[in-house]
Amino acid sequence: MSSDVTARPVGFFSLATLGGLWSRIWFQDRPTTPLEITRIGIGFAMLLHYALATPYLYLLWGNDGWFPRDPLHANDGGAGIWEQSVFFYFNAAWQWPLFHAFFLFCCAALMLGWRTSLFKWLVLIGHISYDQRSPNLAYGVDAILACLLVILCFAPTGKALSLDRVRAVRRAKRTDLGAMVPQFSSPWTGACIRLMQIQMAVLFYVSATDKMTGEDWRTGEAVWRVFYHVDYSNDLMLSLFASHYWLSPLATYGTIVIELAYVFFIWPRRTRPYALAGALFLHSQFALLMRLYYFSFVMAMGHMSFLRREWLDRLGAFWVRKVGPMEMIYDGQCGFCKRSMAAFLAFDGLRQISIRDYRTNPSPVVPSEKVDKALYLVLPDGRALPGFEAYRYVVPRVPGLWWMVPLFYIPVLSRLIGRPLYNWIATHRSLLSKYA
Amino acid sequence: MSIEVSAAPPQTGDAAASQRFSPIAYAALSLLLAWHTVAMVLAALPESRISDALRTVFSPYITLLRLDNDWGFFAPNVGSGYQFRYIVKDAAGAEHTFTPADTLSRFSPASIWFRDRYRAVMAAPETFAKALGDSLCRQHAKLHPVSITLIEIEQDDFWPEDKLAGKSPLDPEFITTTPFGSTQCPAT
Repeated sequence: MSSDVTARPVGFFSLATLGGLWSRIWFQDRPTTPLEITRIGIGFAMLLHYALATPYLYLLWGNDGWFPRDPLHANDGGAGIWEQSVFFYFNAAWQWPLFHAFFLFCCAALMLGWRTSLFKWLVLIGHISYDQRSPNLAYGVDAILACLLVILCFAPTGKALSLDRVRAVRRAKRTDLGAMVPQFSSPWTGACIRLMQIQMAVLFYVSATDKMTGEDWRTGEAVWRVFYHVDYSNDLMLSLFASHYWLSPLATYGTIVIELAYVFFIWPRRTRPYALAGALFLHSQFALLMRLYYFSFVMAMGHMSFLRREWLDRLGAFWVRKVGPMEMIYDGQCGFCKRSMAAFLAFDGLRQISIRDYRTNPSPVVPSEKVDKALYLVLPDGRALPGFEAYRYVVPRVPGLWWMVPLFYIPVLSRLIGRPLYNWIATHRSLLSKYA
Repeated sequence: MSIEVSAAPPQTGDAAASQRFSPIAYAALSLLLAWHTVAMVLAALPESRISDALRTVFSPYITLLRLDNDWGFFAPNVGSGYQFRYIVKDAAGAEHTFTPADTLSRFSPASIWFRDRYRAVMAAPETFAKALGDSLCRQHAKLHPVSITLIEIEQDDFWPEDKLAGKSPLDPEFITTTPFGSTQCPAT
């Protein structure tokens, strides 16, 4: 027994044990979904933010704008040499709008998940370039963006909720419409999610502990001071807090509690939902009451790294149950039809649509003569919708197809273009198959 | 570069990463994770002997990737509010006061950019004041400006009893006005 007691502590701290612990902490096999949600949100936010900056491009980042190029900025032999920006190398006026347009394109590509492996790095380089060129304009949100973008660059993003994924699925379904491309997951994804989680926790910890050293926060006056601060003034809240001043210490201490609680309670399974809800609530208040929309949204995207796989699975399963099964009946001998179906189904990430080739597997609901003329959709209640109506029914019910909703639901577009176009395609699909 | 190791079907339970990584890849990725984690934490740490020593090693990485931020949002204190105003003196001697913040919509990010610009001017007038003054001379050419005086408004404390008494945080008794620069406008 004594040899067991003396051997156990040494065994516990052995390298293999530490390695196992390291793997358990970092290299959990995970799908990329939380990171993809972050990617989409950040891409959208940056696209909107920088697009709105377009009228001020030269003022904000030009050599003759608000912040003339500091000669020391690029030539400093110390830390300045690491403060790099693409703008430092521009010397002709046309280069600014060209780069800006390209950067907006990159943000859109990041948001849509197109060629993600490339564009995520370009977005990171572009964002840092804007920041370093005019550091006076950068504030907290820009630093957070850089941190999140770096992690997204490390991670295998673009594997889900992306056009890259659509392309991969379409490629597989062109060979076999029933092909299922498995969801990507990897231990490296798990490691990158962990990195982002640690980033958010560090951020909240430092934010909370810094606040606790300040008199405004200790005395409970901080939120009151925010509401009369000229940059964030809110007359409605000021009136409310003046009449009920106890709200100020409540909000002040509540902010610190939420931030500090996040650091410790975001990790355990049971408390994560509450810590996450608290953080999202806090940022929603920053957005609504202080009009820090960009900052709050980007922070919320960082919190997405804490979304559990089972929550997302449950949400997807709920949606599928709510919508119900849908079966599309198509002509398996029509090459154009199969390619169109492959493209259409590639957006069906939740696999809500099942398919039936009426040539080999006639439908008991829709006679083959009818399917010969148009594609059909069979609903859970037994109804069958033809052609354009079938697509119109499916589009709002499959999240990956929501981008098509305007084409099918805006009256002018659907009546004048959509329906006639579909009818023509259906009638001439044999001809189209020759050329597809 | 996107560091992917494999696209194998998802595994349940704790996947032993070493089973899917070569030892070298596992070590390299682990090193990257440790490095970046230290960088994230270091960027936010206050100055100390240890953090300063580590920063000499990590500084290029942190600076290049723009990871340097102390995350001190409204910390340690909320701080005073500052507002930029300017006074245009025209050829007739009349003075016109302008408050740029009043013309900006809080819903537009432009309000933050303009605010940051004025904040930079107030913080470093020796660098930025002249350029701003010159641009304001051009902007108000119709007034036939003779000079532009740049003003910094600093907010003083404002308490609930002041609000209940019907006062406003930017009332003269709650602000300190400091001219910090002036520009002579060219004759128009």
